Amino acid sequence: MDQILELSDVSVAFNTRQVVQDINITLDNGQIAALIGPSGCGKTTLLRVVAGIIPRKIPATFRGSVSVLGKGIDDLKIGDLDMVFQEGSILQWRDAVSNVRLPLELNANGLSKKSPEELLRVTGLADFTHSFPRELSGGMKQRVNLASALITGPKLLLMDEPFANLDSLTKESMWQLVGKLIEEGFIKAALLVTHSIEEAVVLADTVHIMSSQPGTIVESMKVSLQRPRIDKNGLFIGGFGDVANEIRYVIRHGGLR
Amino acid sequence: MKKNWIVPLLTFSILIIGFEAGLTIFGISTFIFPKPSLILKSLVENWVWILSNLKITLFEALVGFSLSIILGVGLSLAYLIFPKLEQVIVPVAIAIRNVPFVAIAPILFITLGYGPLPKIIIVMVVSFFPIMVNLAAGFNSISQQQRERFYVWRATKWQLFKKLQLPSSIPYLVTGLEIAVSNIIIAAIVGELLGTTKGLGFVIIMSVSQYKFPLLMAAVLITTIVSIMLTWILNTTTKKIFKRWLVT
Repeated sequence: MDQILELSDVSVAFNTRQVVQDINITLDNGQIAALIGPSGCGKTTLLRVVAGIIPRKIPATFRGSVSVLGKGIDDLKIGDLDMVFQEGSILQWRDAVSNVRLPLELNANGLSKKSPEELLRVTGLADFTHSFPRELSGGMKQRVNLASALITGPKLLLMDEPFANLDSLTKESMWQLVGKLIEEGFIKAALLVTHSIEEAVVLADTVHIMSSQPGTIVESMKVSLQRPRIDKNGLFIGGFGDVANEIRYVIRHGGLR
Repeated sequence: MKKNWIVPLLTFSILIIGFEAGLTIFGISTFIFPKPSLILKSLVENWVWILSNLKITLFEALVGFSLSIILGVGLSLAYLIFPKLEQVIVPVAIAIRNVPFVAIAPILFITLGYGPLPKIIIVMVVSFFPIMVNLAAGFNSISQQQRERFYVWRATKWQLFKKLQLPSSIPYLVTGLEIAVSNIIIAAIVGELLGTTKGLGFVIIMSVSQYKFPLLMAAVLITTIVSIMLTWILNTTTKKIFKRWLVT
């Protein structure tokens, strides 16, 4: 299975308001794609379409087709894809390890090849296995969130502005963590929604730049920088700024230079 | 912990001494306000009688409270499972809650007699409502993110309930119970005032009709203390039982 995700001519409208229009995205195994654009351009809507939340849980007019792992949305099972939300979705009454284990308690019998403890170790929380969310910082909570989204070994990871609420230094260390998770094969393929150009350039192989009202993809740009894109000293590697500026130009002017 | 007691204790001591002194100095009649020492004397003299009546009131209050937990939890579960029922249950519940039960009590006594049953019903009418609405608010308190996370995992409705809605609702349930419990003794006594020959309400009626105002105040004192104690007991036990879900 090489192609993980295919969106063809996807359009979504809430009542009469067209949110996204004629979106075409493909994502291959091993690839990370980022959706970037102004608020209200429908990037989170697209992510929810892939997750099946729209139009199953949130009513909307939907056209086009979505296939994940060659299957329709209704045929997806736990473990096919998982989603990382913004801060605040882990459960207050469960400690870190039991938060990570939660998806396995649902209907994932025998699905995971990873243990919750191992994922906590990989995400740098080995010493906080039995800490409760109130004892963890914002960044640590998002590490728990990531670990819990990876416990079922999803073939596609959806990330909805996962680090938007973190301070910029914490954010950068989270980027390094996600980079490591990609490198070590914990994250197999991912679709990332972000506001941050840097985040897109650090993590993505392809950056889809969107414009709003209605949301369309104005440009899809390959990022061919080598990985990891933050070096051992915590600095962006050479050429990083140029790529970021190209993206910035497209966002500002609606097209390539 | 110990320090928390000192200020209230001191406050009440000063209040009691102040009342005693004030009522003595200004020579205020027992019929207007009995002196604390007289109230205490009356309490000691009538202790056995007050206690046996307290037991009856407490029984009515606690049975009514237990039944209203069952009723309140049951109703909120009913319209969680069948959302369409909300539009049936909630308006009816609001109507029942707002019926002046003082006015309908005589009907209850005619149809159900003068035993504990009508008082238990009055207690239920007063206390099921906060339990029901608070628990329902708790079930709805989960964030959209959390709901969507469970959807992505293809969790069943039962799993969503067991793993997310139920634990999230516990702080709300505890609040509902606390609101409810603070009114049960008063509701039972009001029921007794309207028609009975037993219970603290009867003690109050009797002492008024016989102009035994120190006894009246003793009964009021016991009522207040028992009501506070019930709230306190509920508070400490729920904090212990539900500790894990109450921290935020």
